[in-house]
Amino acid sequence: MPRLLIALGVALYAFLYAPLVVVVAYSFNDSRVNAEWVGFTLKWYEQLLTDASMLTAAANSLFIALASSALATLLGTLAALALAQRRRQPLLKFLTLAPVAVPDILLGVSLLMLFVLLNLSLGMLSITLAHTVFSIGFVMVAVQARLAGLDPALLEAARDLGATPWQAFRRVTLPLILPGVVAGALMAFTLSIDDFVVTFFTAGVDSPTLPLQIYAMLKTSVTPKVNAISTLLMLLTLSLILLAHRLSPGALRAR
Amino acid sequence: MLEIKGVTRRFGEFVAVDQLSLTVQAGEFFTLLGPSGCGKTTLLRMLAGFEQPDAGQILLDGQDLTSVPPERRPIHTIFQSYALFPHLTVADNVGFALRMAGVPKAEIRRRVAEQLEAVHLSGLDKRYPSELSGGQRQRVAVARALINRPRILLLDEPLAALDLKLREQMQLELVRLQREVGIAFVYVTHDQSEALALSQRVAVMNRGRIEQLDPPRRLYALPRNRFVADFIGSCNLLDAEVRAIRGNDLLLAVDGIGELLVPRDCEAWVGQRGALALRPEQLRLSLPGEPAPGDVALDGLVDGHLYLGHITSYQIATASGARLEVQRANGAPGLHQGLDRGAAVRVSWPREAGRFLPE
Amino acid sequence: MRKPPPSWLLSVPPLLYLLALFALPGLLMLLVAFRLPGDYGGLMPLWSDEDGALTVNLTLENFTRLVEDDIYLKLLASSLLYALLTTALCLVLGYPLAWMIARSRRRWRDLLLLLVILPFWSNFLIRIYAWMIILSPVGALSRGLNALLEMLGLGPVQLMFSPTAVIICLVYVHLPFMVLPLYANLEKHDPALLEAARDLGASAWQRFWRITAPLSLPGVLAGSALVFIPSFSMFAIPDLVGGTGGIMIGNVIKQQFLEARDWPFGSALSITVTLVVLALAALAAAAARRGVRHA
Repeated sequence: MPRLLIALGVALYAFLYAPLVVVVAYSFNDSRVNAEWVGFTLKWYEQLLTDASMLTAAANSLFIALASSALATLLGTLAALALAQRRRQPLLKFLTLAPVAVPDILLGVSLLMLFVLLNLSLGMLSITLAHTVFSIGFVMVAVQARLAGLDPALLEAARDLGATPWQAFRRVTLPLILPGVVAGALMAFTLSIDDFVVTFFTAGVDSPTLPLQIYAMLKTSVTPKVNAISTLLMLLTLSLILLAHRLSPGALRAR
Repeated sequence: MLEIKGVTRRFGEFVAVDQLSLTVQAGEFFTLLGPSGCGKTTLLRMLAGFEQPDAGQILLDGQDLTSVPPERRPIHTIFQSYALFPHLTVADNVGFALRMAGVPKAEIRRRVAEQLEAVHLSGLDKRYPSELSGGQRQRVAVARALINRPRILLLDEPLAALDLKLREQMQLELVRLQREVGIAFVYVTHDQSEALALSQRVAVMNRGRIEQLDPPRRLYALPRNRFVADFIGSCNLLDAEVRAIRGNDLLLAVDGIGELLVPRDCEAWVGQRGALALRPEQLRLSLPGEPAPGDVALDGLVDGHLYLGHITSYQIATASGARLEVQRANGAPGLHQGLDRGAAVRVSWPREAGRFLPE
Repeated sequence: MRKPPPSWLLSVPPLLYLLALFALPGLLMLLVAFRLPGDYGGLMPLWSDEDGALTVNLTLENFTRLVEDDIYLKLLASSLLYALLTTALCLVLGYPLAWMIARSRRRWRDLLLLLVILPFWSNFLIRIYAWMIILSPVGALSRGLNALLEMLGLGPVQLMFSPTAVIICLVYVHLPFMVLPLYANLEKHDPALLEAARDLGASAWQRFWRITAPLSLPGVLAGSALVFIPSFSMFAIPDLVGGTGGIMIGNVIKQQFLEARDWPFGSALSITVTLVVLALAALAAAAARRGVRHA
């Protein structure tokens, strides 16, 4: 491989990671301004832990992520199983995958109108319902990847050895697709806890999530507290995603 | 006794199995042999219950199995891929059928241990299928299929994935195993030498029908038609027509050879078209001018040869215009000098070696 | 015997959910675009009954307004330009990266690919925030650059709150969208094709332009679509780093829904954005079909 290309590759990886390193590094910087290194401190993390609105936002985000990923995992797994039984279901395929491709802002504003017209007050419930819409497709793809690798002879072997169709599903299909289901759930959780745009339109005034809180701080008062919360959030999502990757390599690429 | 009565299975326009009937005796090693797409696997899957026949019946000891689901048939399958459950240990794979039948755990453990010992896999019970060699996987598949004593074992090309040496070893093991357990094996393969080596009877299938059903020796020596002669071993097939019937012989007019007599072993009439079949190992080579060892002799030239180790295969172009393959065992007496391309030779064979195969 | 549920039963819950919360809102948006706004946000009633005369409040006004006032057309054009520029830059940066990953040794390949995937599973706002730090006037980059410009006798520039900042962030956020489909395509190329071309006398340059580039066209188009679509309708990046000069159409849509509370006009804008995206997607699909036929 030409050296020039390797140098370019290294530069591109630096381009991808240097900004994130900057965020993490300044979270330990003993200065209100993200400009010069003054000294090491953990005070921004301490401030986070005593910031009531931040803690509320974190609790909200966690709750929404748990609820929407559970719902998306159920619906996405059902969709994957349905498609494994019968491939020709264009409507199901379209409805699960299109929300992944549609621009977030359009998803957000159209759901906003729907919720308002239905008199559903904007808050935790509306955010959870909205996040589930774009997560279903990710779960489905992750489960499909496992189903595709499933030798159909395994199910026949189970039937051949006396398992009813239901037993064959529970003892053979389910354990074998479980890594895909878990990977899908982890991805759905990550997507939800990270989502800003759709949340921005479907949240009410009394249901701040972490990304909404970060956005508000970026618009008004940037302090290294943002770096601290960003570092923690990245740590959480990246470990979840690495776990999902271990469970179902290839599933992540769907995004 | 397994009876298949007039079974048909269609996939759209394609008729995979066409009004097929046969009977497998208890304790028999029975093989379905044929090229890919001949319907042998479809037939096997209907026996297992994974496919439903469109017409016909499948009976086991007189009891109709046709609409019994696979999990309730006393018939188990060794899959081509073995289909070992990758998330279960060897012991759990082998004990699967007992678990499904609700056998108590302690008994499952005892019987699994017994079964693993029988296939020489004791000590591997905690392993996962991915940690086993190809031969070990096959044994696990066998142990799993036999643990609750099915009445019939179906085997779908179980040796196809193994390399040649292991395949030969496994062939011997399968024959021994079948004798030990004493149940009927129905074996599917496209490999004619495997079918001849293993089976007590072989059904040669083509286009959803049985072309011939016989023990291996009879199948090889007395193929009933052109397809079987061509599919089993190699065979010289020359277009021929019956000219006259003389007692127990037929007088044939053979393309590239002329008129000759062959034994009559089937219904035949004057004017019938078909082929003269000559197995290449039954043909003899000698030098022109020497007395030929066979009854029928033709002069010709060596057109090419393939050295195959234990034998050499010669392509002979006869002066009369036929092309014949002749096989000679290397190290057989006579004809010591090498026969190069262009060498003049004489091909001969005993009259009984020739057979007439009707179209 | 318990049968597993048939496929139609399995697909009912996800179908119902997505019909209600994806198809229905989409349809709603389409209808709202032809309605009139209510006095205090929301919608004017579909029928109004004034002195016994029934009027139906449906209108094309939202679309004519979009065309009449050239501020919206200009914003659409500049958003299109930003998105196309972002797509081009992602292609220029992403192609060599994808090629390098596809040609690296197998045991490195998964790691290199994972390293591309990971940043874009981290929070979107955090990634923009990172560039807010880097591009800020007090940051090392701005100060260094302006010191250099001063030495050359040029005036200082501001990186933050400018179209440049918007483009940088758009490229940074969307680069992985370009790399992944390109990699998926390049990885499948049979190396024997390049060996055959070399055997027949093609130089490295010729091998790339005659073999690799045409074969990778579907990957290029897929990656471009994945970068273009979210870039074009972006509002958070211009909102945070664009200042007044770096506004995009997404900002107007957001404003219509959250500040002006003019749903019908916001819907009309959204539908226009969708139509532009669909038109370009159709073009790309047509190009892909031609490319595949040639390949």
